[in-house]
Amino acid sequence: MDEQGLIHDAQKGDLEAFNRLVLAYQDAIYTHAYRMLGDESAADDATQETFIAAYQAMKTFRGGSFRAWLFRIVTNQCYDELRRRQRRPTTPLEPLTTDDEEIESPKWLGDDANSPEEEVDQQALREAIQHCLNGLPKEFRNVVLLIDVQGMDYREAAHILKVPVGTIKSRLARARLRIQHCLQGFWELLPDKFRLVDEESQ
Amino acid sequence: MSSPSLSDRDYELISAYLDGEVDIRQKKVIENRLAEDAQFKSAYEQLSRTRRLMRSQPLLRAPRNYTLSPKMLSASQTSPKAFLPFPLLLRTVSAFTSLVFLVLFGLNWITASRMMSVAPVANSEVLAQPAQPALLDEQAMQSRSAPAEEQPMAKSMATPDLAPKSISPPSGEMGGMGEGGGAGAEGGVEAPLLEPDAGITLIAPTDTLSTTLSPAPLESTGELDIQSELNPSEISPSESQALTEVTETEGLIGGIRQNWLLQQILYGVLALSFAIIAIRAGKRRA
Repeated sequence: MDEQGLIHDAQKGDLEAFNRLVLAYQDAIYTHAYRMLGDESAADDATQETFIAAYQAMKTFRGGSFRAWLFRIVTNQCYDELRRRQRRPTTPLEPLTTDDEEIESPKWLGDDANSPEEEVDQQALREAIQHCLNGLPKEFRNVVLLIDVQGMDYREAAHILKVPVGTIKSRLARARLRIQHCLQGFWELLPDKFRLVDEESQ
Repeated sequence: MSSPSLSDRDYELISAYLDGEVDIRQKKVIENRLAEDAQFKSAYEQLSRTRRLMRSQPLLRAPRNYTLSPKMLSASQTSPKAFLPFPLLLRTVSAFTSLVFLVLFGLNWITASRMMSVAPVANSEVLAQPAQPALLDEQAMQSRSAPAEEQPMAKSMATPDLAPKSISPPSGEMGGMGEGGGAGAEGGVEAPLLEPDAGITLIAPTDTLSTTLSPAPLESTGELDIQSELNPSEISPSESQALTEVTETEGLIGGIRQNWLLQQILYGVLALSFAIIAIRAGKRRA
């Protein structure tokens, strides 16, 4: 894929060229939105809004990393959504027992007997990580997602978040430390390679 | 060597070291500590594991394609990008408040202007009642032989424009004297018949009245017209006292006017502020 060519065509209003860029980045953008918001529906909306906003603002793209530019847009979309949630907090619906009592059944404790065992573990681990991510301040969450999940370097993350590299360093360290503490209760969900390292270190 | 506890700075160094984001000098320091400090090494291993765990997470697969269509783009241009209830609410409330302030400002201005124009005259008349004629209408003024030098009097007047008013001086009360004051004997204007409870009652102190009122001749209509005579030697002290009171009153009115002006300015500033908020909220929503 000639990304620069597609960007150039998209800037001229070529929707087909832009849609090829969308297909190339939609998984990464959706993953980031989902990890930031912790909700599939909200992530779906944020991803769609990101690409619409990107297309409408294509003429303002002045070169550089297109990925970083897209991640800046999705970050803003996620922050907007999080601010809306703060203004209008909602209570998650939990299933009720026959006695009308709520069942504490977060997804990461759920059991899907029809899935293969490994898939269940992966799902449980993913949800445990998401649970820990949700407990982080959004600035910390964003940094750890950009660097550890999306694989960006410090400078690219700093460019997206418009903060100095030093801020990225400190936020990342704190975020990792908090996730580490949060995951203490979920070590049994970890694959062997992670558990063994923990046992060796202790 | 073992440190009692690691600082945030230590964790920051470990984290950056894991990502290869430290310079050569820092790298050397960290590696030395890893070799010598068990706690530092343990922290390094745990953080390393957390980092690997996070990095092992695969990208999620998008549940659908997010490719755009011309229809989708035109729909997004016609509808607001995001639902922003608070700016809309802020804009509406601010615009309404601004309007209310402007209306209040206008009404207050008109009312206060009227009061200010009437108040000095009315007050000075009331205060000067012992020495000045008390609120006589133009017809009554014309009916008197010496309008400028009249003494206080109590007079019931049937003129419609003054009918609802009643002014009582603080020194005494003499309401409803029952004397009909016909207007315009000399001016040729005939006032309607006085009814005891229909006309305005101007009240003057009894002692002043007794010395200054003189019997008025009956008009052909049967109404009483009051004529008073001025005796300068009797009213001079009262006049000077009244003048002093008028001066004090004017000072008081000046103060009130100043307060009123400040109030108007405050109303204006508030109205302007709310208007600015409304405009800014509107821009934000757009």
